[in-house]
Amino acid sequence: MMAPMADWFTSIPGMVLALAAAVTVCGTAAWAIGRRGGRYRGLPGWGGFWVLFSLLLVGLSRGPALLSFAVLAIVMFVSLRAYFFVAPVRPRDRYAILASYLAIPTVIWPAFRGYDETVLATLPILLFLCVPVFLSIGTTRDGLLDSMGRTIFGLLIFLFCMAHLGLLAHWPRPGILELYGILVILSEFVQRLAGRRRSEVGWTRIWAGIIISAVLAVIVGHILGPQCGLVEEDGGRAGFLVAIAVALGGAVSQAVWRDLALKNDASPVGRGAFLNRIVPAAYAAPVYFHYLNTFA
Amino acid sequence: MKHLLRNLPLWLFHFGFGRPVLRWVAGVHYRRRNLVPRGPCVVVANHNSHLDAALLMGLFPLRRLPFVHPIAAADYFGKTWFKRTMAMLMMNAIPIERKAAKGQDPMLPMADALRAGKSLILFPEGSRGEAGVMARFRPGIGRLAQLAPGTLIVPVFLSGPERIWGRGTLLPVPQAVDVVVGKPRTYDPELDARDIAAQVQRDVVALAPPEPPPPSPQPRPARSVAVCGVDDALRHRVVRAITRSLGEQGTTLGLTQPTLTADQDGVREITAPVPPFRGQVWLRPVAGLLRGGPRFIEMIERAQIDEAAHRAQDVRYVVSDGNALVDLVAWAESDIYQGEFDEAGLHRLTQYLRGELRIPLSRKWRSIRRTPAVWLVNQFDLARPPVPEVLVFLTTRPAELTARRRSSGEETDPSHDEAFFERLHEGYRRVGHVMGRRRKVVWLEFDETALLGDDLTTVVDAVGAAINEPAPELESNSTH
Repeated sequence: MMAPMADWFTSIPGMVLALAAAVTVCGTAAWAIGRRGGRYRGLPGWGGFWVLFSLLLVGLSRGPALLSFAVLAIVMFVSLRAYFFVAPVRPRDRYAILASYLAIPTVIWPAFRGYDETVLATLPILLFLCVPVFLSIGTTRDGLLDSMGRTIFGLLIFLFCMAHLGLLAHWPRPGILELYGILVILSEFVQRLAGRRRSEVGWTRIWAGIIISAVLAVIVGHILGPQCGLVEEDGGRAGFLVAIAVALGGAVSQAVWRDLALKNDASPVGRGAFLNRIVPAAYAAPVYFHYLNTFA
Repeated sequence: MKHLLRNLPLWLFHFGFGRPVLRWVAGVHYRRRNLVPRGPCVVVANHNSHLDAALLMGLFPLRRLPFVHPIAAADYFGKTWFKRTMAMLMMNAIPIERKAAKGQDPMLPMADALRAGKSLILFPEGSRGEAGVMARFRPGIGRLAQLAPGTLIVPVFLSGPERIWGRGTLLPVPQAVDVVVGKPRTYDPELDARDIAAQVQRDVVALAPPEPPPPSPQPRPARSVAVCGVDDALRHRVVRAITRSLGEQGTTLGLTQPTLTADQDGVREITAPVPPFRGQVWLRPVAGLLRGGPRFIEMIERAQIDEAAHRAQDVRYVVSDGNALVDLVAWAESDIYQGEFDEAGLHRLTQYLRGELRIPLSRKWRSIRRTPAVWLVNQFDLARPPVPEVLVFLTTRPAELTARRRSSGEETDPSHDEAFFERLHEGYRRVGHVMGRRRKVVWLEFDETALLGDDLTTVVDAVGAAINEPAPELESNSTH
């Protein structure tokens, strides 16, 4: 009985185990600290989100490609749907929303086939040239720029950033997506513990969180980088960039949700929290992908 | 068998198509679905989309669907074969004429269905109307409440379906939907049908989420001054003077008895009744068990009013007569609850009161024993007392205060002797010190001897200077 168990355990790739360990440690700590309440009360939910998100990363990296890319497309759709609920555009812009949904397969299909250049060419054209056309057709001009900003921001995060997760799945050596997951979860955990910008959290604490998370990510990237075919320095630099991108993503999501009044008591419970978790997780993907693609 | 065959299309449609599509494509969230009664009821909601009836049928379990009937306009759904099939077979609708012929009452079939133990889904607006705009509820729902008195009416607010498939749109576009269920209630059948309809509409509107803010700079929250001290009369005078002075710079609210409002035209008393106490019913008897129970209730009420005042968008300054956060911590510190706290302990107390930290399990019992009021606020989230930006503390000589109280014949707690007031004063000072260091609150202390007579310019000038300065970064205590 024990021998097959041991065989099965040793057959699990090291990077998957490392990601599982990172999720277990951060998730358990998040659950324990979340019991304190106050500004830590969102941590258990964040831990739960990462259990599912890490499954998506492992699926993309090692699972059947068709299934995992279908799941990625569903995640994009669900995220966009939730985003357009909390950041509604003008009623007459519903066809821009439809176009946003229809853009998912046009991005996912080349990403699934591994046509990186097609994806990277399609996305800016779609985002910056096509979507504004859908929003501009018609006679009403009131609130056009606001509507355009909301739509493009949603597409930028949930289409552009998340498509890079699909591109990372085609990296020649496996484990690069798991490393991404480990770097993001560690950086975000430290930064969430330290706190993000709000009245009761001082700048010193926020900077300390960013610096500690960057140091931690550099060390982890340095150690785990060689496991997925990177030289140690590249692993460390990628870790640093991910930690900074996660901090920037957190700041952006915080500012946007505050603008949408999602922090108020009356915010639509659930959807705002989901978006607040997925934005920092996706925000670092383009930075990580392009650094590895260009320099590593 | 007949029942099964008759309802098979209904079940197949909802189980195999309607519910999965609404759940996975529209991402519908039902909030407080458990409030829907198990017996006959009338579900009423705002109406902006063809999806609304299917969404509301999702509130009921599948086995109850044959006994749930949406009310459909016969003139619209009877027009074509397709619409008739969809409405009658798939949605189990009862058709009624919106413009009834003479001598016919379209409400009667509905009342009969309710008496037969069935539930109804009704859109009192009568039509889908413009997306996102709720029309006035028609009196039909009131007539129904009169015809079937005692029927439970469940208010529901639908937000989102109008964006998916509103009136005049050809293609449905998936976007999320929220279905918020309110508490079922009955309405007085003696009232006029229009009044009942208006009441129902109010209950539905109460469930609506607030409008998202427009894309413009967010309104700045009001700046706040709290006046603390043990002499009620002096505190009241100072609050009035500061309110009048700040009122010249912008709309100011003075939270005292009675509530004051001030602007460039002067100070006025607000005659509107104070909002009712939001706390739980059980709180009053429980607070009665505490030392200083009535004072505790008063503090919670004041904290809730203070919170509401800070959310008011057109108020620039709020001047409060005492501050629940400071008072509760000072009272805890002054040994009323056998408290002896160091600076970290006092800071933790403020965090517990503000709801920023939950009292951990290991400290629960100690907290119940030593600071039961703080424990109650934290455990049941009774209030989140705001932190003032400027804290004015008025010191009084304890011997003179007790002598004044005795001579005025005021009924006082026998334990409120000189020693008690000494401790309370010291408690306030320590709390002020912690607030200044940890919360960046400007602490201004004034002795009553400096405030004798009607001349309060010293306080007013100091507060005016402090409130208009940018928030201090470091310790900024000052004593006058």
